[in-house]
Amino acid sequence: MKGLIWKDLVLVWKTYKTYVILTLVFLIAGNFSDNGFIALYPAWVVGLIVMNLINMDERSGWNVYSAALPLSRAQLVSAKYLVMLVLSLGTALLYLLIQGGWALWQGSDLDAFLLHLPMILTVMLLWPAIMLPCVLKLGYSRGSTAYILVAGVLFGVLMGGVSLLDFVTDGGTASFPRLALLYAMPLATAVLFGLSWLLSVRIYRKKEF
Amino acid sequence: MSLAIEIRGLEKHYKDFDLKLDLELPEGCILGLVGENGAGKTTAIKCLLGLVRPEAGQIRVLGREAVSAREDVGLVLEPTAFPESMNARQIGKILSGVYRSWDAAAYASLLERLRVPGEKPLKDLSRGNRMKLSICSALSHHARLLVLDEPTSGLDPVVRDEVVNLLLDFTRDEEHSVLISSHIVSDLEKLCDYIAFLKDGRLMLCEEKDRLLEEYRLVQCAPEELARIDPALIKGRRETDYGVSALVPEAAVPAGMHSAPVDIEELFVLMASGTKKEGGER
Repeated sequence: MKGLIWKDLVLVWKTYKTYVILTLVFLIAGNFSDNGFIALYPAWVVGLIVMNLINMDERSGWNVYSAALPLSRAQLVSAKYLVMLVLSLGTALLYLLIQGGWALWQGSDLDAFLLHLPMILTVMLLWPAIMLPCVLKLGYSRGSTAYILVAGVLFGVLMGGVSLLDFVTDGGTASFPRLALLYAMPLATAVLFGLSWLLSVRIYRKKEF
Repeated sequence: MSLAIEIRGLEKHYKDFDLKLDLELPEGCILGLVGENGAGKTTAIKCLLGLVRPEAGQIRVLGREAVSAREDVGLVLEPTAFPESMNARQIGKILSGVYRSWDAAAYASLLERLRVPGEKPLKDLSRGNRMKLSICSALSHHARLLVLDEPTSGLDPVVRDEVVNLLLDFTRDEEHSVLISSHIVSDLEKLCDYIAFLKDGRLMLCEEKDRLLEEYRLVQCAPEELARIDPALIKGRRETDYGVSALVPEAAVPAGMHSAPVDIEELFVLMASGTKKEGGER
């Protein structure tokens, strides 16, 4: 399976160098803006990259070839989820370093950083958790139509998140118990991501090429 | 005699196509799978590789369940099934993480022997080099069986010859076997010990190539003269303004009737056209 993960990471670096640089730019720019989109953009892009890796696999015929290699279908699916996690953790780490570091350095904005972090982690894992089973079942082109549905779900989650943010901060500084409630969002998403992995393995085992 | 491939009672049904197949490939031999587009060659290979699930039948590869034999099977399914931006060196690294018995030295040596550039991305390689790269990767993990789907299509004659020679080298080892599907019958004629002919999802024949060439004759005569032969014995016919060509078992050729040896290409074309007369009658 390490061959699969290595392949995807090399492809990410070869094909999406611009996105990686763009992510850095957005994370740095996020320090100078209150616009939530700037902070959320890198989280959104991570999922987009993994979907495009699946698209590249389909276009080159790798998806068919790899299904005939001495690898189980579960390994093929798990590799994609692991790559997703590696990229997400990498982005989260960059977020911590750049925005968290900036907040610490400035000394005043750590609360805002702590409030945005769970939202970012949620977006990062939620939309791939929904999209990956769709794309693995239907293929990239047809599976991508689920994007509209996923975008709707995410919009709902973000709106819910904003309301939750209001409730947590209650116009002032977040208190610990209320902050814990906010952090339950990425935890719930992580559980959903695990369930999505199980569903994708089940789907891919039945898939014919 | 041990079998490299054993397919029994295989059935795969699609909305507009059914495949029913029994097939054997003895170890140490090369079997050519021939048939028109849509005859079922690729479906048969997909069943063999576990890419589709048959509704019925049993498939054994190298004496085992097909899935558990994958480590010993070399694959050539597309000119290259690898992402376009990768190069041969990187592909070697991917496959070294997939096959337990990956032999990096053998891979490097094959790339050098076939003059495949190691650092050029696939998108900059010719079709011939891509195919050679696929074959190098199929041959670099000590496979005992090679499965190749249309490996020589679209290649120029020089590269085709190189590929054919490479496969012949591979089968010098008596434990090595090859299943190859191709439209290019002349390549199969050079390569194969056995020919299996598929038509409309059914196996029309599977025989040793030499026996096949000895067994059948090409009769060229006037249509009324062909009536001397039992129609059930005519395996294929083609009518022209000048007469009729028919594929007939040697034993069925009436005394005195002119007949000539048949080559695999003629045999394939005549079998593919069936016993159709002008006007589409079967």
